[in-house]
Amino acid sequence: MSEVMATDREPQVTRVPEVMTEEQKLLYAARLKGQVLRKLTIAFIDAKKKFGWTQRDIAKRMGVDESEISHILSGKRKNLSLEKIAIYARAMNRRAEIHLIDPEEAVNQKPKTEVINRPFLFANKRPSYLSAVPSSEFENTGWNYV
Amino acid sequence: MLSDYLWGLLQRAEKTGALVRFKHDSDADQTEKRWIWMRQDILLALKDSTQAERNALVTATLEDFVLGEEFVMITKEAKHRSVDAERPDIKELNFGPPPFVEIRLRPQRRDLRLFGLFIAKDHLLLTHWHEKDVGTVGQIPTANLRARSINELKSVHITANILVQDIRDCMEGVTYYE
Repeated sequence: MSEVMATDREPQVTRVPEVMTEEQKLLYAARLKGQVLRKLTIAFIDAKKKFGWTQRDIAKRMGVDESEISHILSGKRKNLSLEKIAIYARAMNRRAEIHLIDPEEAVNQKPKTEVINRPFLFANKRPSYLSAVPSSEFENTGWNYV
Repeated sequence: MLSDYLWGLLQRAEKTGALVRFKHDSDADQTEKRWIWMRQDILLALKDSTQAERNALVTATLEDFVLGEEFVMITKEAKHRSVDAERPDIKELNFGPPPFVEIRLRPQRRDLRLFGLFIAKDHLLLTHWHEKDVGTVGQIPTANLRARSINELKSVHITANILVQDIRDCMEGVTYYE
């Protein structure tokens, strides 16, 4: 794996829409909901691996029925409240926090190079035995080189 | 890791319209860490305006996949596989190699299932989308779906032997449910 400039897969910047469409609203909500449920599931799996806790242990700690935990993990609980998330997280020895990310600021904090999961012919420099080959020979081959 | 050969095959399939790459609107700080290819008809189904809620759910899951979110996977060797309460994002079905997977939605929709194969690490070929009509009973013939998927991929010169053979080589950023 090598570090190269991510020139061929630059992310597109999403502009904030002046008026959100219903589809956009549904998508934003679905993404957040999915991510929350996924993180709760991963936290549960970690707690299970680390401490051997079962759904019953967590339900007992929360003072709810075991089926409640199953419903939370499966997403059957339609309106999962912030309170419930906070309590559930703590019952699994986690602290729930929320981050609102400014994409422009976040991108400035990232390094300028990206690791791309693509094969690269030469990790750091062109080998000496290929030094005579002109750079143009490598164009449009799918290979990146330095 | 996608070899030059496989990358070429996918590019060619994309140019001919046999496969399309799942594209999405990402923010400036987000980069793709995984890739999804699918047939045109699957992508068109995603754009069906009469199914906005369903499409948002599927798109959200696919976007999370592409942006490298940590996913929960259950392999076919996992113990207590029938105890499914933890709801994996990706479930390896009882076939293979090559592994045939079901991509599950969060919150789960029992009537809507997505199936696919991995052509390389973090490169998913979404081959089928199955939506059960209201009132329909019966199991989805997943063995047939898998056979059809592999057969259909032959048209773009992707054969079973070049697909990823081990489920643990399919993705990075995975929590295994065991």
